[in-house]
Amino acid sequence: MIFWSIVPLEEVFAGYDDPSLAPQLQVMRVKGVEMLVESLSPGSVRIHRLLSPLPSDYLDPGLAPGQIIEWDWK
Amino acid sequence: MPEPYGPRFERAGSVQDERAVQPPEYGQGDPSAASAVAENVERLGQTNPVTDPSNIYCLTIVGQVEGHIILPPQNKTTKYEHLIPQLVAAEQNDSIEGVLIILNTVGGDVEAGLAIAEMISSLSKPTVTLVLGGGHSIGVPIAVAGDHSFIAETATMTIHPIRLNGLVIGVPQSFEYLEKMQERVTKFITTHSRISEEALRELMLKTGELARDIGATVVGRDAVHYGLIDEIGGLGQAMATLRALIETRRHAVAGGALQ
Repeated sequence: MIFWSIVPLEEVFAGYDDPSLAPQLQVMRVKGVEMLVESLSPGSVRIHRLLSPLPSDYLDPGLAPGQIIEWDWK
Repeated sequence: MPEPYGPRFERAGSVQDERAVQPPEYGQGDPSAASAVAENVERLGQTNPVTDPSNIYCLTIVGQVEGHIILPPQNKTTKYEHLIPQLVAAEQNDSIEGVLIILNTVGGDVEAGLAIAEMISSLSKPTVTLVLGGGHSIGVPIAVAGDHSFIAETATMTIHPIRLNGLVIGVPQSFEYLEKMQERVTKFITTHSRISEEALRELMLKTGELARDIGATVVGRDAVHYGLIDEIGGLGQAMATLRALIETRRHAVAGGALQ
């Protein structure tokens, strides 16, 4: 991998070796779409990226990486 | 779910079947709109964004271009694996007629950046790129990939050589490899802009400008002067150009020249 940036590498990769900072990701099917999510709390996840074969899913702003999806945890 | 770009695919057996495909119109006094908004707040924690059927798709490339490695959280990143299917959707969706790409990037993964740049340049629909703030390193190929490029007067682009560093795993850092990697990027820039190879190399090998590297920083007008970017401009000019390109394409398609 070639990284080409004006930001010094030690700034970009600060904390790279720290496992506690790495996100815990899992594949989940939410609203009919396969996605890689990070669990925030029971009943809420943050989208990391979509794994859908349908291009139109990627246009949906509600499914953008970083969006938080919550459901009733009863 | 808001539908800014026209009908979506219906997916069998999913929650989408239960709600109407018609998007709730924002602020139109429709009684069902209020409940749809409330439902969205409950589900997503946000109200519906204003749905305005637009034929222009706007893509922003900010921060680091994140490629094969997930960068630590202090970095703001553009995830190329989300951008690529978005460009596929823009190419496929008939209600999208043009793409506006706005850049403010400090560079990042070379292969992810080149993937985005090649996707943008091979779109059949008109594309206009606008560099605001910065379009550094791998941002340069992305900026020149569109049909027409703009740069704001205060925006800068840093031209400096690719460096192989410790993150290149298992690849011999020979001179030939370095040359090849640099060549693939340089060739893309020179074929997609009016800058000559000599001028680009001269900028890349300039000493004394950058603190930790050789290379040069070109500000707005200089980028146009060297032929890297087509025109000085901002949002207004970029939109006007994109609309003109869309009109031209519409007439060409209607006249039977395309398809």
